[in-house]
Amino acid sequence: MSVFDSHSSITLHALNIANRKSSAMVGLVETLKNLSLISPGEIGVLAEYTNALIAQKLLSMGVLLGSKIEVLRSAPWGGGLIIKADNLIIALRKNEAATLLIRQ
Amino acid sequence: MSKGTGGQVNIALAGNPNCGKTTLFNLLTGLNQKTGNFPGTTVELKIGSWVSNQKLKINLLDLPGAYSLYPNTKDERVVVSTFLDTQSANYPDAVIYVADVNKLDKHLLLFSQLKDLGIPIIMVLNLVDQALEEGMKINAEGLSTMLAVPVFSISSRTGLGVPQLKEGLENIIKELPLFAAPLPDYKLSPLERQVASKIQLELRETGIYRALLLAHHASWFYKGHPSNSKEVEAITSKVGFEPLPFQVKETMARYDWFTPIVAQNIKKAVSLSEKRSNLIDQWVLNKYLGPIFFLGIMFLVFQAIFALASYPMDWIEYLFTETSNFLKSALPNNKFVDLLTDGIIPGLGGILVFIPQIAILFFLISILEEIGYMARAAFIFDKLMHSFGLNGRSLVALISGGACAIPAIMSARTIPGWKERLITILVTPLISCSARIPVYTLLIGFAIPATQIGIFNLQGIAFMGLYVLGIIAALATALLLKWILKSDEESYLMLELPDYKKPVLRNINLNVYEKVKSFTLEAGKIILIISIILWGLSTYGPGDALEQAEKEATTIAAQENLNSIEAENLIAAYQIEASYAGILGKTIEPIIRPLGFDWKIGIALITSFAAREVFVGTMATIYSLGSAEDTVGLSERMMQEKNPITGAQVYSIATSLSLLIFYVFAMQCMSTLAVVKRETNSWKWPILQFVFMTALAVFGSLLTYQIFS
Repeated sequence: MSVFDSHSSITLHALNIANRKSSAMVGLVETLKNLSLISPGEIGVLAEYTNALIAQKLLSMGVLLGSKIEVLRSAPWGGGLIIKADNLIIALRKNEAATLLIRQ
Repeated sequence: MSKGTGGQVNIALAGNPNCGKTTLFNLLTGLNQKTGNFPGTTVELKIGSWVSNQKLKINLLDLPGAYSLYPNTKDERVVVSTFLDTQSANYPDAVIYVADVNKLDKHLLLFSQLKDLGIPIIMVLNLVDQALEEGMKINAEGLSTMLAVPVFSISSRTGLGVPQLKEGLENIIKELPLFAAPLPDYKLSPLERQVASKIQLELRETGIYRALLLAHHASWFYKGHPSNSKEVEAITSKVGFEPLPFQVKETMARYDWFTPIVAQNIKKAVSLSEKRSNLIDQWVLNKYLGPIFFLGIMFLVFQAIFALASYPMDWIEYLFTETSNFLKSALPNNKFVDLLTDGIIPGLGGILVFIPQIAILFFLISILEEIGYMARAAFIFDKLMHSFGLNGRSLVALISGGACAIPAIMSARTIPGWKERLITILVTPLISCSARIPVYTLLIGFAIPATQIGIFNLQGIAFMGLYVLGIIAALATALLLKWILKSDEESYLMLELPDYKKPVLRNINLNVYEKVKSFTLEAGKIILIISIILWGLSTYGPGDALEQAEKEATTIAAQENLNSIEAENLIAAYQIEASYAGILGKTIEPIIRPLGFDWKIGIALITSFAAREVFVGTMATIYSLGSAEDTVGLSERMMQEKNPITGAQVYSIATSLSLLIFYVFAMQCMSTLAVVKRETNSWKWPILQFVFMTALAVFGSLLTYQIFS
């Protein structure tokens, strides 16, 4: 069970497939971009969480696998960013955003 | 339910943050609220009540907003323990679940978990007026059938639908058990089922989902019963039960359950408030304009505090001075009247005079919070705050610290990480609070000439300089603590930004009322006791020392041909020197002399370790002016004060500056220390804080005095 250690970088890919009939199959090569690298105005779909603890918190708020994600703006001094996830507006730190993988 | 027939029923109000829960709570209970703490925690517990038409007392418990029963913050843990601890006096007989209808697809996770606990539950769709206006189609009956709970549509902002909710509630209370789900909707996985049934069996828990929650939370929930905690741990570790992945899976399964239900019954329209918020945010959260906008708002807030509060503060001071003077002249001259007019009344005045500032600060901060701005300010400054080991949310505490550290420290509860929260609590008292204002005002009068430089007043600049010094000290200390304190707990921002809303005045007023009340009661008690002790110390002395001093002074007054007022003042001054307070001050004089302080300042330092604002009162007492409020008279007296040996002015610029620096840094507030103890649950932190701040004050003063003298 240690694959779910919150500090490890192991992905929730298994969960993703178990719970959603998603097109993201293991082996199917797909370009997923981490959210911290996406510039304001760009849109995508949340495909994966790479940190289980952050996943648990954001899932509780309603940022789900398959949610439509848009980066609205970034904070001053190279700080975090504000995303729109479906109808939620959420502020994230850069390192938090980096654990969300987006399919564009 | 047995409790239901016993004349009262406990109902918990639950929901996500920003669902309008507290607005509904205020609307239902009004001023009929009691605040306290959840047992064993520092999380604020609010219970309000009303009596139903059937003469049943309904106690409504306002729970902190939470997203899930797998908590991230202390506030959210309270929600879990409220529902797990069936023995608690606050254990609810039923739940009113409030959800923002505009975000219903995101607001049902906690609902589905609570429902699975088997507790009677009803659903309230909030903000329906706005949603209907925007063209949303809501099928409340469909929702009610599919979710298997009664559904009420209301608007907590306008009160729409609230009478129907109250009426519906009365009927439901009559048959509460009918509204409890017999079985959880969530299908436990084989491993979860295995663990939960074992816990059910061995700890005699009733519901399977309740047992599952215990498997997740035993380590902290059973703090008082380590045997239970060990028992649960034995069960979970035996089968290798790891909480986190199961929490993730359960959360996703629940969304899979209710997402289609919401989609079928709610037809969304374009949300205008969402669009409007985005438009405002383009300016307010702009990379460059955002911080400037924030500073502008804070500037206005502080201007408002000083400009608006000065009038009521003057009235309060006047009232207390006059009352004291009137009683002095009207009542016979004895020790009891002395205690009343020189101890208790000025002491009370010293507390109440801060109420206008605290009220105005919280009024403005509540408005900013209600509008939805505070969460955005936290976002803008998170990076900056984070580099000092703080959290964006710390900003609220630091700003509130400008009024009073006590509510500011309490506001740090919303910070999720322990380390960031602790640092916020420890550095907040370094921000100059309103209690320092009288001290600053008095001493700046000595140290800084009132020259104009262009449009600026030099004294005004010095005033601001002291505030800046406090902020720098707070940030530098935070940085130091960031390096020293070790924590493997990760810190988070992950903050939901609510849509901008018009503020509800009722909420703001209730909040201000609460804060003022708790300040007056908590700080007031201590300040009152201290002023009585202080009065005792300065009125009594060992043996007949005071009579001797009086005789001596009378002789001198006669020799120098002083008029009656001057003679009285001289006697009072001689008496205080001979009193216990004088002895105490003289004892510490050798230690504080390098800082430029004499024994009179020593007395004031000792007494103001209880509360800073006591300084001015003490100085007034020592210089025997009868009233603490007469700072003009006091500053004249202090100005004339000469060192008896050298003949030099005691309040030289160096001494005044040194004292100012001392007051910027020193932890002179027993109430704050008490709150820090409560919030950190240990004496270790307030003691460390006290020692550190005192050391900072002593070194700062020493340096200042040595440079300027």
